[in-house]
Formats: sequence, C-alpha cells, structure tokens
Amino acid sequence: MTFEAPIYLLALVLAAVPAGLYLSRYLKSRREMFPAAVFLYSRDMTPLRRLRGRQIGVAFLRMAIAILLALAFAGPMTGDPKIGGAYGSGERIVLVLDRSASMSAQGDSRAGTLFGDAVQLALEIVEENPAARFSVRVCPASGPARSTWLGADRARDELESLEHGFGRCRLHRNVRTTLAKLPAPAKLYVFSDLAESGPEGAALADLAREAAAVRLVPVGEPGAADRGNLSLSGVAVRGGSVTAVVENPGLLAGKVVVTVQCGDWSGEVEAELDPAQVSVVLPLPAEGSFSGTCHAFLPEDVLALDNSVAFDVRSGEKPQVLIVDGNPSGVHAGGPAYFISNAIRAAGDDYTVVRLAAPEFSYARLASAGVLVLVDPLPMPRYLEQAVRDFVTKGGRLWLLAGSNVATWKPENALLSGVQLRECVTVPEHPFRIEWIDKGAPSIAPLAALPMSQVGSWTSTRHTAASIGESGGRDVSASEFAPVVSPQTQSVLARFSDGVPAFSLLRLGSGEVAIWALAPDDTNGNFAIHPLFPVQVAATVRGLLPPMRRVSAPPECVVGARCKVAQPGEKRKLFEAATPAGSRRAIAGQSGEVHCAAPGAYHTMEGATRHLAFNCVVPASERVLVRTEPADHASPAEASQSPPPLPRKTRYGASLLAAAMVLLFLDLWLVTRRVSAER
Amino acid sequence: MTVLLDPEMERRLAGLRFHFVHSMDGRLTGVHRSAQPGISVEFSEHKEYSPGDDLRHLDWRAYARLDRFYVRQFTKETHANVHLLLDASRSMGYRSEGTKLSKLEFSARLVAVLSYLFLRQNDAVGLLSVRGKSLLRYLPTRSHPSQLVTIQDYVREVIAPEASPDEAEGPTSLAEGLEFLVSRRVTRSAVVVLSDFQMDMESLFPYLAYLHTGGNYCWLIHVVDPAEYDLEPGGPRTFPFVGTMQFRSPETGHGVTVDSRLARQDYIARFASFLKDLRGRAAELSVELSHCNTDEDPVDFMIRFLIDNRPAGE
Repeated sequence: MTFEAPIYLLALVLAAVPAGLYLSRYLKSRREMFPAAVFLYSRDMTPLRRLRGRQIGVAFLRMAIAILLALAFAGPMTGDPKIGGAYGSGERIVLVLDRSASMSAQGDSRAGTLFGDAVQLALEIVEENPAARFSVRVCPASGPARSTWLGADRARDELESLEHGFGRCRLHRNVRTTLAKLPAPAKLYVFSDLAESGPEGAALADLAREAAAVRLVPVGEPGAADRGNLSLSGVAVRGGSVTAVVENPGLLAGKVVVTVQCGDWSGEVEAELDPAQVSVVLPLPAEGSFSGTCHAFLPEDVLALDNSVAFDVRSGEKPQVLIVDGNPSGVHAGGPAYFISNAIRAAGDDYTVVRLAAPEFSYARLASAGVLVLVDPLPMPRYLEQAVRDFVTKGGRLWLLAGSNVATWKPENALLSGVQLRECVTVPEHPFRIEWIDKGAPSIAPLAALPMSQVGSWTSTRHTAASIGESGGRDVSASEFAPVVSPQTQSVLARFSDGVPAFSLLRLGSGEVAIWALAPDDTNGNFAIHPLFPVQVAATVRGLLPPMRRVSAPPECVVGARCKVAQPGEKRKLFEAATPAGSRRAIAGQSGEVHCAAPGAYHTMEGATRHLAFNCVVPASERVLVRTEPADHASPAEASQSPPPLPRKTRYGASLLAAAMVLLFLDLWLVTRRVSAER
Repeated sequence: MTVLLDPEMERRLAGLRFHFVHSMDGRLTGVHRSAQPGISVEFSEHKEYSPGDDLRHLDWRAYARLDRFYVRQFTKETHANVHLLLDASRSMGYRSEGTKLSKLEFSARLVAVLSYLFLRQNDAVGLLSVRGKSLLRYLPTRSHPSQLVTIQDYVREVIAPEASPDEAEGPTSLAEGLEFLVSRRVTRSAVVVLSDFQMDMESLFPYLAYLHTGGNYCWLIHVVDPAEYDLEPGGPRTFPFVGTMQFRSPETGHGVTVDSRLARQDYIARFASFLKDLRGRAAELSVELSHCNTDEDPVDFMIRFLIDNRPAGE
C-alpha cells in the first residue's frame, strides 16, 4: 500500500488525543465533597462498569475517527487485480493509438494517412504476439473504454475497424490513466506522430522514461517535416478588407498562393513566406457582385485539415445619388446639374442617379438617398432647409455646390446657420487656380497624385467665400474669409489662389457635408469641362457614400473543445459542416456550447437563410508536425523484455472519509445521550 | 484571627437602616414601629377617655366640638429583637475552586454585617448555631455594643477548622434551632436563618409557619457556592467539573460517580427545581427569601436587599 500524501500520516498522532483525554479525565475518577450531590442522584442510573465501558468506547471511537481521517487525507492506494477486465492467460499488451487531428497528415504510401500507418504498425505487433491478450484504445476515445482483453484475432478486427477522427487528444494523460489501471506484468504501446510538441510531447517522453512498460512507437518517417506544413489560422476584417494569417511552422521558404473562392468568383494572392507567420490581404469580388460565404484555401500540403477558413461577404443595396438643381431650369444641358450627373455616370460606378429640379425637391424622399447633391440652390423655404439639416445630422451625406445662388443665402438660414457668404469674381484672363491641396485626404487623392502644375490648369472665374460672421455685416476682403465652422469639424481639402477653400468637408451631427465653393457651369472658366472635373466628382461621391459591401469573420472554435457560439436560450441549435468525410453536425447544448468534431466551416439556418456560424479549426499544437524521435525511444523489439511491475492504483481515501463520517455521527449520538451514574 | 468586619465594611454600612415591615415588640426605644401605642411626636389615633388615662393627652379641641373626652395616642418606636440562626453543618464548609470563602465563612461575615447593622440602630441581636441535629450554642439577644464582639468571637470559633468534625453527622436539621426559639415563645421579633438548606424542608417550614403566625419577621438567606449554582444569568460557573467525578455528600456521606459533562444538564435542572420549590414554600408563608453566592460581597448583598425591599416612596 502506498500513500498519495504521506505527510498526512503525521496526523495519526491526533489519535493519542482521545486516549490522553480518557486517561486524564475518565480512567481515575476524582473525588469531590459536594453538598449538592443529592441533585445528581438519578433513578435511571447506569452501573459504573457500564459507564466505564461507554467512556472507553467513546475514546476508542474518537481514536478511530482520527485515524480514519488521517488515512483518508493521506490517500492510501493499493492494487486491484480485477482492473483491466476479464483475466486470462498470456502476455498483456495495450495498444494506444493517437487519433488526433495531426494523425490525418499524409503518411507512408501503405495507408495514406499517419493514422493508417499507426494501425499497420499495431497490426504488426499483434502478428508478432499471437498468444498475447490485447486491449485496443484510441485517443481521443470514440466511446466508453472497453475493459475486455482480446485475443489476437479479435484485436486485429478491432484495429481494422478503427476510423480516424479529428479530436483533440491529451495523449500523455490518457496513457498515464491507462497505465494506472494496468495489471502487471503488461506492455503498453503508444502509436503517435508525436505531433504534440512542447509540454505534451515532453510529458509523453517523461512518461516513457518513468515506466519501462511504456513503448513509444513513432508514426511517420523521420525527416518528413522537410515537406513542411502551412496553415491558415484565421481571418480578420480590418477596414473593409479581409486579412488571413498564414502560419509556417515548418519554416518553409519561398512564396505561397492563397486562393479565395466566393461562389463562382475566385481570386488569388501571392505572399512571401515568413519563418513565423505572414498576414495576407485577401482579394474580394467586386462590390455588389457576390453575397455569401467565401473560402480561403492554401495549396495541398502535409496536413490538409488546416488549409482553409471561411468568411462572410454581404452586399448592401445599390446607393442612390439624388441631384437637385438649384436653378429651376438647370436640368438642361450646360447647367451644373447636367455636368455633375454626366461626371458621375462617366465614373462607371453603378449608382442610381436621380435628377430633380428645385420645385420637385419638396416631394423627394430623402431617406432613400445615399448622397444628396444640392447644386447651387437658391434660398430654400425654412422647412426645407430644416429637413435637409435633419437628414444630414441623422447620418445623411450632402454635397453642396455653392455657386452664385448660394452666395445670396442669408446668415439666418438653417443649413449653414450664421455663415456669411459672398461671391468672388475675377476676369477670365486671371482666373482662380487651385494652389493648395491637403495631400493626406482620401477624397482629394486623385488630385494629390498629380503635380501642382497640372492641378493649377483647372480654373474658375467665380466662387463663393464663407465667413462665420465676425465681420458684423461690413464688407470684408476675400482673404479674411475663414473656414465655415472650425478646424475640428471642418477640413479644407483644397484652396484657390485667393485663399478661399475650394473643397472642404464638414461634419454635421452624425452626417457629413462636402462643400464645393463653386458651381460647375459652362461659363465658369474651364472648371466643368476640365478632365480633372469628372475625376474629382467621382472621388467626392465615393468618399461620401457608405461602403456597399460588408465583410465579417465568424468566431473560431477548436476541434474537440467546447465552444460557445449560440446564445444560452438557443439550445438544440443545429450547425452543419461539409467535410471531406461527409456532412458533420454540431448541436448547441443547454448552455449554448457546441462541440465540433471535424474542422471546417459550420453553417446554421436562420429562417430560410443559411449563415456561416463558426470556423472549426485544428488546435495550434496539432498544426506543428514534429518528426523527432525521443532520445530514449525503445523499439518494439527491445520491448520484449519482461517489464517491471506496474503501479496499480485503487484509492481508498473516499471510503475512509465516509467511514470517519459515520463514526462521527455515532459519536455525536452517544455523547448527546443523557447522564449515566452509579451511586 | 479571621477578620469578619473591617473598617471599610463598617464605613459602607454606616448609612444603612433596616426597617422591619412587621411591628416589633421591645422594651427600649428604637427605630421600628411598635405594636403598642406610646409617646412620640407622631400622632397615631384618638381613643375615648377612660379613667386612668393620662390627662395630659386629653384632646380639648375635640371636647369643645363634640362635648366628649378623647385622648390622643401616639406611635411607639421600639427596638427589635433579632435572632440570627446560623447553619454550621459540614455542607456549609464547602468551598469550590476559585472561590475565596466557604459557605460558612461567607455566612459568618454576613452574621457580622447583620449584627453591626442591627446593633447600630439599637436593636438586640442574638445568635444560634446548629450543626447536625444539635444546637451548638445560643447567645441571648442583647443591644449593648459589646454584643458585636461577642458574636464575632463566637462565630470565629464556629468556623475554625478544628471545630469541624471529621465524620459525617447526618443531615442538618435547622428545625432544632427554630424549635428552640419557639420554645422561648419569641414573638414580634426577627428571625434570620443563614443556611444552604440542604436538608429536609418538611421539618423546617412548620416551625417557620409558627414563628410567622407569632408576628415574627422571618428572613431566609440561602447561601450557595457558585459551583453549586451560579445565580448570575446563564449560570456559567455552575457545575464546572470535567471527567469522571465521584461526588460525596458531606453530611450523609453518600456518593455518586458520574460523567460530569453528561450530568451537568440534569443537575442544573434539578437544582433549579429545588430553588423553585424553596421560593414557592417561602411565598406561601410570606417569608422573606434571599439567595446569594459566596463570592458576593456581604455588604453588597445587604445593600442589594435593602434596595429591593425599600418601602414604597422611599
């Protein structure tokens, strides 16, 4: 018998306490002259001998309780020859096959995968020991462990019927548990690719060193790591683009091609491999052309299970650009609205462009407009100004082209409240040129890419300057006009040669206003007919429009581990995945957790729509294919020597604790009984 | 020499007065109300004149109004005869661990305190002591201050260790002492009994009833060791014994062996029942009953008693 924590045996000295108490208090009764002794006389007196016996009994009871508690905490263990199942004659051999995900890597040509190789090696051992009794176990187990010892024929059948799984296996724990229940003498063969690098692999090697009965049989050829393994460890969405992480545990050099498949559309991206890992921005189909689940793939390599991930791409509605011409007759050719709509269509973006004359604006449905373009509008009725302001402050996008009509707006207007506007006019011989550009602003990027000499050829003869209103109504020069509101809410993208902002962006509530300080018409220099005009129009509209495409990466679950992907109320929710081995299912339990047994993308049905729910991935420890043999590895031939007796464990701690509790209750019952005495 | 009454105790007792609720019958002037009318400043009642009455007490105003002779009578204040009955049995010699005085020593100090208190107010104090079934000694009541010295000397003799017999004398009978007082036809006096009352109550209370009927003020002082019964709430010091104990009665010699921890609860219940019985009997006879633990200061006990029994409105 051995003890798990022999230090607790020191507590056995506590057993002396009840004995000491008995000897000091009860063994020899003290005499006392007591005047009130008459009150101690009782009719139901117990004979003194019985009283003594009871006291001795209580003392022994308490000693037993102390001994049992000390032993229970010390944790005695002993062997149990029955463990392991029915006994028979012959040598005992336990075959433990690693069935973790990494065992599905390509192995020798004999059986395809490493797991197939392991089964072949196990069969060889069965053939070599026809008289032995076998116990076949896999890790992770496919069901309750069988406790029956099998003959060679049945063991062979059992091995051949084994199927590879994709679970997660703590091999050294599994082996240690099996070892503890083994009858001696027996041998235990472990067939593994030793893919569990780090602590798991080290623990397995330690176990083989500790117990001579354990034999590690490596599966796969040493040096197979040269073939390397790449894995996609997940996808992340950053600013509308999708990034995938390619891990390179095999330390391969060169380039890798990542393929993205979105329905019929496919795209590829090439990336330089890094010894550790590399992030790759994945190509995506054009906006609006695809909506559904996309898969990213790596080329076929040693372990195919970790080569794909999935993500969702959803397309929004086609945006609408609503152009309102401030001039009642401006819808005709040559007017600003004409030039604006032509420029938007020429950009090739698939927007819906609606043109309205100013009188029709009050009937327009602003909520459906992605971008509202007000082209040099005349002063509007108060309610209309307020409606436009509300549209913007609630998140709408407005593009205001402020020409000579806007210059007539009063400072009391609701849209640009408190702003004084005035028109600046020059002669055609000395037009206004764009002289300064904020090169960091994305909305002006097409101009920023050009030299200023080319940008300076884009001229106008009229524009509108704006002031916050400090001038108090007096006539101020154009250079005194300042940004409309403040640098915190307004950013100037470009300025004319007289210093007036040409293009600026203004945040209003949760919406945005792009202001052009001029109206493009055929009389305003070459502004409307310059080649840069449609370029900047398209950039402005694109900058204002919200993205049409939404990309989302699903949560990740690890094979064999529980993963919370459903809400607690969504018990019995079904998730399905299509894997090479067929369709796999995962069902959410009471707490909303699922247990995915095979890697891949799992979908769920929400109403009639199929949604990507989560990616089930191979754990990181399984992605690394280590092919290094332990230094102390012993071959199966060497293992034929008689193994030393194995530790056999049956724990008695709980039983002893229960017995101590029973005695404790007995003691409590005894000591609460009434007085016993003898005259 | 055992000091029974030190100057500090005398100082604390100096301001105390003990007024009996009963009328006392004495020859000398004192502080207690007398059953007989007498001469004092406190008017008592009118009485129709009869020959022989003192003409000085004729109420002439009443004669003028009623045309009849009435004499005024006044309350008489007299001294009291106080008989102290001390139980000097072996059971009174018990002193538990942690207690300074035995029950007898405590009673002796209480006797000294009572004697001092009564003698200071001009009462006559006498002492009887009983042990076993015999009356040890009787000191007749005297009101002379030297009586205090006499009583203390006598009490010292009683509590001296050599005075205690080695053998058990059988149960004490206080009835012997009370019978002695009855035989002396004590009336309108005070009888104070100091005892642990570990005896047959049936023989005690008939004599107390007789004395009470004779107009005597009877006061039973029950002296208890804290180990016997702690009078404090909860009684934490009651029966503090541990382990197997052989208890023997000092008076009867009978013994009992018990597991102390197991016996404690039953013992407390029985002692409480005894106290309840004692109080019931005392209340039935309208006899004053007080309990005190031996670790209490005798003067404190007196003060507590006087406060608890002060006349209404005082």
